[in-house]
Amino acid sequence: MTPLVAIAGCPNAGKTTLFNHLAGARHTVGNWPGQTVERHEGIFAVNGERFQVVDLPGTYGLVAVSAEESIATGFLSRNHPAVVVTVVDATSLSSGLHLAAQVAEAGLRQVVALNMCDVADRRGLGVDVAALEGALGMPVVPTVARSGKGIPELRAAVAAVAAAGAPVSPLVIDYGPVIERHLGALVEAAVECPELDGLGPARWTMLQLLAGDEQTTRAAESIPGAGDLVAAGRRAAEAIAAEAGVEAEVALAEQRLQWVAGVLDSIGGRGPSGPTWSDRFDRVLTHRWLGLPIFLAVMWVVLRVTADVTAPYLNWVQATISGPVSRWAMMGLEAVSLDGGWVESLVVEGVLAGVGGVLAFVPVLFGLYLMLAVLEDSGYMARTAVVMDRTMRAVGIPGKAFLPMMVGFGCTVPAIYATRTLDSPRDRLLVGLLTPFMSCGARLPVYVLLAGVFFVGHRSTVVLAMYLLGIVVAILIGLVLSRTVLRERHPTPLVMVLPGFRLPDLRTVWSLVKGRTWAFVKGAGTVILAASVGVWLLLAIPIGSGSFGDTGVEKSAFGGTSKAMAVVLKPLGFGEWEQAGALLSGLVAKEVVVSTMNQLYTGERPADQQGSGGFVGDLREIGSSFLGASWDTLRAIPAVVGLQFVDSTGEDSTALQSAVRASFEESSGGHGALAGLAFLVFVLLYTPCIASLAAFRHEFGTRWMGFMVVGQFLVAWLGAFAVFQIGRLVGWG
Amino acid sequence: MKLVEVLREIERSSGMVTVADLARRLGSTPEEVRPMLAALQAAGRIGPGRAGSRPVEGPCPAAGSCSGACPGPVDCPWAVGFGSGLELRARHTG
Repeated sequence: MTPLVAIAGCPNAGKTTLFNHLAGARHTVGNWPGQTVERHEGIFAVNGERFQVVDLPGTYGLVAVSAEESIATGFLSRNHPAVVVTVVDATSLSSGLHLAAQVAEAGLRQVVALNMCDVADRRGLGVDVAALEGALGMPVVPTVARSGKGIPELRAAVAAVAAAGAPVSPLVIDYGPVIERHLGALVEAAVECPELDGLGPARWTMLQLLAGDEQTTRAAESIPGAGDLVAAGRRAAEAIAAEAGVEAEVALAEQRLQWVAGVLDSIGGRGPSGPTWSDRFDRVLTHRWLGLPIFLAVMWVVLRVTADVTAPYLNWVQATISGPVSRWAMMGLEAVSLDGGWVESLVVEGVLAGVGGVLAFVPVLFGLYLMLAVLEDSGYMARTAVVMDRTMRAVGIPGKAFLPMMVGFGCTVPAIYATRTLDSPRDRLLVGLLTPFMSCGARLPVYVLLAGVFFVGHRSTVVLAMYLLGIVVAILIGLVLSRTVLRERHPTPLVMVLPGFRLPDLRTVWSLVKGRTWAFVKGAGTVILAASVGVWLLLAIPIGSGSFGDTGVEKSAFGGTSKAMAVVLKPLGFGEWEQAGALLSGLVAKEVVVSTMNQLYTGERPADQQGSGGFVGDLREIGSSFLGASWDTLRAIPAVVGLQFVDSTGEDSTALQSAVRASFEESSGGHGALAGLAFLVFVLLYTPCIASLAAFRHEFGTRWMGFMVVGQFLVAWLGAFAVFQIGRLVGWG
Repeated sequence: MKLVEVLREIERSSGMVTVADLARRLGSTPEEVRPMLAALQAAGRIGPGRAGSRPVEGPCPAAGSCSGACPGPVDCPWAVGFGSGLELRARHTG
């Protein structure tokens, strides 16, 4: 029979990489029975002898609580592998040896793979391997799993231990007088029940009962005659807790920790305990007073890159869609004799104006997702959660709320689902009501469009203001709700294990950026396309006189509905039916606000079909304008840190921007910029998109969804009203 | 410093607490506290917490935005990573 080798280790100790080296290409991947956890299994040979090797899920110990721990613990106790390879991270010896101690107590033959020795050496944490081997009484093999160093030696050590064959004496740790007294009595009783032998050495089995390991308890209970022993184990654990003043499982872990400390002392291997450079950074970045200003500064840089640096590409995509792409579409329709009718109207005024208007913002979204991915992968995002946790708790909102709220910067739907990370139904509902106030990626095109019209030189500042306003409004609403309908209770603790800072991995960053940008593009091809066609249809349907496709837009079904809504928006400075219509269609998805404006204001009908110089000329135009956009982008990068090489106030207005400006000037009686700002505030705060509403209803029910729809509309109306009317009174804009 | 002191400090905390915060409150260092957290995990008293966005269970209403090509909860492009957290676990009753 092929001897079985199990690879155990703490999470992130390099276990799976080491397994891949051991098993090479000859391994299979499946699932553990009844679990969604992957099971990696393979074969390796030493001097012709074959070994079956299984990679166990990462675990810190053998008291099983999670699915992963249950798999590892259950596998070891049921299958009695010939050898257990315990992978110990050399930079975190104590944690790994704690696990190795338990494997040794369970009486299993063991080889310790001392992994990441290279990193430990670099940090001055080098281990005397021979001394460690002596102290543990088992083979210790230094390895570097990433490079495969030490793998042949590890194979040889495994083969030697397996060949020895003789049973090993379980490790015996002195647990002190209180525990030893109760443990001794239990072991004596266990010896009288030989059926328990299948679970491992009697002392180990009793230790597991005292620690409350559920698998051992269940297995023992299923053995005839062992029920009394299980009950005695429970009584002993209670007695230990009473006598020692600490729960039995903690007292056991404490003594094991002492044993590990003794081993480390004996080899002089505790190493320097100074803070790492990542710890030093954390002192500043998560500082009680500095943390928040630093977070705001980082957000400002993110949004400057997003709104300003990507602007030349936005203009390039816009020009490409409204120029060459629209010309090609018209020529194509002409070629198949479909020009001049409703098909041309659908393609040009529906699809190209709607979808094209949104696709133009892909570079902006790309910029946002790139910056967020860099922050995530560098480890900074975890720090922001800690910083904002403190800020939010200070005003009575559960600190963990900021985790789902940060998700809301991407999309509100997963943010609503992310409320499942919270502990109580009250906290979940409260945060669910707050997440839609976060500026999702879909709102960004609206911000960039309006800020580009009215605040050209301060585009990124306005966009940042919208992001911050969302957070401030969420905090204020949370403050009100947590003191009225949703009163606060004591929040449960969460120890954040901050990942060390690192240079972002390009592949990870690219994967995140690609996934999110592609989801946005696909959204343009589905939801936005459907919404644009829907708006086009409603624009083509007449109210009263006229026929389909032959009616003035103001007299269309869309125009009529928008006019009815526009009445409500008049006091906010944007009571034109086009503006109301854009907001109405924004309920489908917030990007649709832009696509509808494009449809209503411009229609994207190419001005000059003949002046392109043909298909090749168009391609040349696309290429040269792309190079121009790239050059402008490069020149805009220094502006992020205050070095202005481009006059951003002198950008040419597009047809859409000019039309939007004229419309807002008219609707506000000459206070266009103020009305534009009020419009942005309204877009930030008003009822979220249909997908978000569906997610909210799914999680919290119809009644609370209704509360959110009405509540957010009122908040948005009041916010926009305050901006426009107070702004007018004090003479802004 | 004893393991039980770390456990009691976590129990006393509310909301998020970093390893550095814990160490400061206990008059210790993060390097000393980290192995103790691992030991508490080994004892089953604390475990991986929910510090990121939660996977969506069941049909996701945003699936339409992803053109029906939902990559699943783990690879959802809209989820944001925050690193890991450790939460208290209910005490064993055996």
